Amino acid sequence: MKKTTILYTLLISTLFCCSYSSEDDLTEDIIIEDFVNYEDNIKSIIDNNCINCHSNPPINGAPMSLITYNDVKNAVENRGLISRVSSTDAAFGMPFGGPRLPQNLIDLVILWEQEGLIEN
Amino acid sequence: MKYTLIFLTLFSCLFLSAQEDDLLSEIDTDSLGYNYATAAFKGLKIVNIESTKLVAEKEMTLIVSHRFGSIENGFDSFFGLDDAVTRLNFVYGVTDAINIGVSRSSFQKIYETSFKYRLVRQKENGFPFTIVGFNSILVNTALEKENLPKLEFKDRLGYTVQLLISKKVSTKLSLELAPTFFHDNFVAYDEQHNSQYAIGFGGRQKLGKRWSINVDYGWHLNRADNSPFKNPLSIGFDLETGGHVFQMHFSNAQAMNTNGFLGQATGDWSDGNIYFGFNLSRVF
Repeated sequence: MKKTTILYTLLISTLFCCSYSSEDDLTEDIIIEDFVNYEDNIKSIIDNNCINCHSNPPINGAPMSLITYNDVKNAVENRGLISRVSSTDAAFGMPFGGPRLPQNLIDLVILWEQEGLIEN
Repeated sequence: MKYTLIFLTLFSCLFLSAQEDDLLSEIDTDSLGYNYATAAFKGLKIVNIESTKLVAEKEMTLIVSHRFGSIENGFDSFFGLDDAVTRLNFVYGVTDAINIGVSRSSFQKIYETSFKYRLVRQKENGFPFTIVGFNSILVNTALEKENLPKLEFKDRLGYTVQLLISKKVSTKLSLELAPTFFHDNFVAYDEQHNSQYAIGFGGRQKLGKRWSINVDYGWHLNRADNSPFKNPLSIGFDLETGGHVFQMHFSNAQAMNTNGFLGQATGDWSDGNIYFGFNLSRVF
């Protein structure tokens, strides 16, 4: 009898906690005034997601730091930053260990590159 | 509402078989004694999918699992050594038939608690299968409010409900079927429904006294079109050494929790994008 009590408790708790969100539901539209620039748009993404390991000096096996504008610019131009953050392969993608960044942030970085990696 | 109904049906089945188990075991103590099929699986997992083995009463098992990065990058990351993810999982046997476990995985920083309970045991001249239930609740602590401004705590949660049905076909061969329902409150791929269904298949063939080859596969039943995720196929070897079971394998899933490897396996066997990994279990 005890077994069934536990089962039904689990069942009930499961039913009441289910919700249905996906990435689109949890992100907000980003409004860019003219061009994407590092200071206003990109730095916060890097600071929130990358500099835990890509600090100066880098830790946890990260090969370079992403603290300054020049660090990030160099990583985009020479180290495939965009291919790493947009990869869906868990072992190749960054941030390491996942989850992948929301698509709107990845798109913003791609747009930043297309517009010429403007600093501010 | 549909899912509520499915759930209720599923759990009613569990309830019924639990009763059957009680009755059957009462009959047997009086007449025949126990002729249970023993050790269909040696590890608590076949490779990724839970096996029907449970931890014995008042024993504690620590399972350390690693999945390295993809081997396709070769020496650049030393066949994935540089990109390993780890899971530490403690499982405690409340009784021989009820286990509770807690784990932490570095794949998406997931905390998990699990509950595994045996409902029926395979018996000689008796019930032909061992049936075990597995439930778990997962908390994904890697989601960041900075990236997902409308994130709430409930979006971090995920659930697993799984039935594990195994049969020890002969002394050397054991097979398992694992119908699974799992729900992630947050899915990264927009088209993917949060409630997901899968059927797991697994098997173990003994090759010698101490070692066996294990295979498991997860067949996802409602994956979204164009989803970047694949069905997980894993092949490995079990090696028993005294108090340890050492499982080495190749898999196209890097995640180690049920929701992770069924729902978010990213590797692909056809282009060599697979991960080497091992599970090491130690009984205390």
